[in-house]
Amino acid sequence: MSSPTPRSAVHRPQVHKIVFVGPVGAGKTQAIRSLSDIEVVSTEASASDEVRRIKPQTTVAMDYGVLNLDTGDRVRLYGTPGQDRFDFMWDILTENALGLVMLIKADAPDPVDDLRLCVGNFRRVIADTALVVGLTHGDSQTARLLRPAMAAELVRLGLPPVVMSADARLRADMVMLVKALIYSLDPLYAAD
Amino acid sequence: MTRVLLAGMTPQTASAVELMVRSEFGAVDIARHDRALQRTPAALAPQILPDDLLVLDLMGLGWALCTPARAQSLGRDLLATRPAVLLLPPEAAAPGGHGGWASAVAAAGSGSGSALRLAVPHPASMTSMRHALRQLHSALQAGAAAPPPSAPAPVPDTAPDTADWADTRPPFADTAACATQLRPAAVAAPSAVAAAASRHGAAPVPATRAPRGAAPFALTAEAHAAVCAACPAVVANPFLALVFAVVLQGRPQAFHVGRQTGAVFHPAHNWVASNISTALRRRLTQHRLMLEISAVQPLDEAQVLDQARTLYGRRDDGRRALDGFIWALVHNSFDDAPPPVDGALGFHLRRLPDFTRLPQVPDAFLQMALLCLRGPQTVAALRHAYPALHPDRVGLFVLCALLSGLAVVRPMRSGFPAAERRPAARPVAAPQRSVLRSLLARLF
Repeated sequence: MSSPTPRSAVHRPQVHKIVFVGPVGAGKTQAIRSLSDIEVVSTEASASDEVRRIKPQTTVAMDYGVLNLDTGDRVRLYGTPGQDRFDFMWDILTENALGLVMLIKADAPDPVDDLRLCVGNFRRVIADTALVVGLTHGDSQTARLLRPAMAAELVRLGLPPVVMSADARLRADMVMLVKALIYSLDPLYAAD
Repeated sequence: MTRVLLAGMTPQTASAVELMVRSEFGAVDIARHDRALQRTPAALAPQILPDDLLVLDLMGLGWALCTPARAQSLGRDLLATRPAVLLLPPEAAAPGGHGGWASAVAAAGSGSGSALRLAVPHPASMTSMRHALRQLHSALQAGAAAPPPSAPAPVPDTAPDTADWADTRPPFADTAACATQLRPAAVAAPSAVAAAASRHGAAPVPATRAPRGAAPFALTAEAHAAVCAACPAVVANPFLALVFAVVLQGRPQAFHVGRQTGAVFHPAHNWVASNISTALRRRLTQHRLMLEISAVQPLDEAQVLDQARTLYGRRDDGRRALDGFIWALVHNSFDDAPPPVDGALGFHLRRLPDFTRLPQVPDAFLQMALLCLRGPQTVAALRHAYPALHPDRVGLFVLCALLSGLAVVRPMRSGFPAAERRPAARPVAAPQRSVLRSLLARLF
């Protein structure tokens, strides 16, 4: 699995994308920073609304990072803004995405409702691709109590219950989520 | 009643009874006077406190046969007005019923006022002893009059478990037994109970109500039995056998290895607080003798969190998901040499493990988990779907999934090709698979 794909003579570098979605303050920007090979391009601005109570700055258009693959291909990592008023960016950013990594704040007032709303917002993309959910900002107790409820909600929504605890600052956690996304697309990858 | 005194039993039997007493009575002091030639009733009498509850094996005290003098001594020197469970000698020991003791105990009980006495005849079973203790506990709590002692304690389950845990051999001379005063948190040998629990199928106790949102540990005794039938190595591992005997009971319990190391299990709330290192865990799974220095202690609901905090002394109380703990434990136990698993074993993975919080996650396990979330599988079908993986590693994944309670056992026809080249969420085109391969190579 770790051996690189031989480059064919006709291989032309391609660009793919993975999109990080979720409510404000869930850790999307930090997640991309943990994975990106480049300095993350972030369109952060001072928060001017109720978001200021959560964090002083917030993403207003997108976060952008890149993973360079040894085939010459690039995987662009996009983070969407969490606020509904930027929903016009969601369709643009998710177009032709490999899949979505959804980050949900475990310490939010109603994380299950956040999950429900977020899945609703990206339903079309999820139907065509794959979704993994990372539960951020929660200690082991929160995750222990919340993960079953999140998984049950995903099942209720007709989606595979792929939900894991995650710390957006930890590259290992983000790698696990991306791996889960890839294997969700193709669970029989490397089966042969 | 402030103390329970056990006398006349072999050390193995006494250990098993001790755990049953702790299970029924909670945190009480227990004094043990194990079977020995010098352990005569006359020598025992001064050791008994006025408000002791007694569990006496009459044969182990040298009283296989009942005589008028012995019956009088039992009533006067040992029982007096104390509540007691009496293990009577076997029926064949002498005419007159259990060495003549059945009628003698009944006669003594008839004049004993409010004393609570229950007679359990040899060969006694785990069930009958537990039932007698429970009955005595209930009666003590309710302050009710004792049932007539002439009849052996009614046993709800007379299944063929006339157990070998209770030794019916005559007293032996070479036991270096000595009286030991054990505090509730002191060390007791759990092996007898673990073995007995596995023999008896470890019937689960109804779990306490979990708080809102807390799903209980989901492994059932039936699922555990199905896994053990498909993979006998699970039963053969002494530490795993002990852990499953504990978690299948559903109630909070502490497991100690020495004074500072151990784990607190709360299956009803799906958590465990453990400071057992991976290295120690390996030793526990590999060396049966390690379990001889360990102990299992039932906990009250009120004390379980304090136990976790005081024993493990971290910033938090060290609690984490029990299903993840069990997954890691099973994986650690068999990672070096995965045992064979019957290919006909069917299962359905209900939830994904919290892979980001598990110490070792082979990529293949993540792949298989994501496939198995899609529907029921069999071990054989999964092996067929992943031919590049060693069949026993596929079996190990299934063991982890089932024993952690994240998967349920599903009866399926043998050879049902559930995972046979199942299509992915959407057809994966060759170019995209190439990208996925490159991305994985880049990330990992």
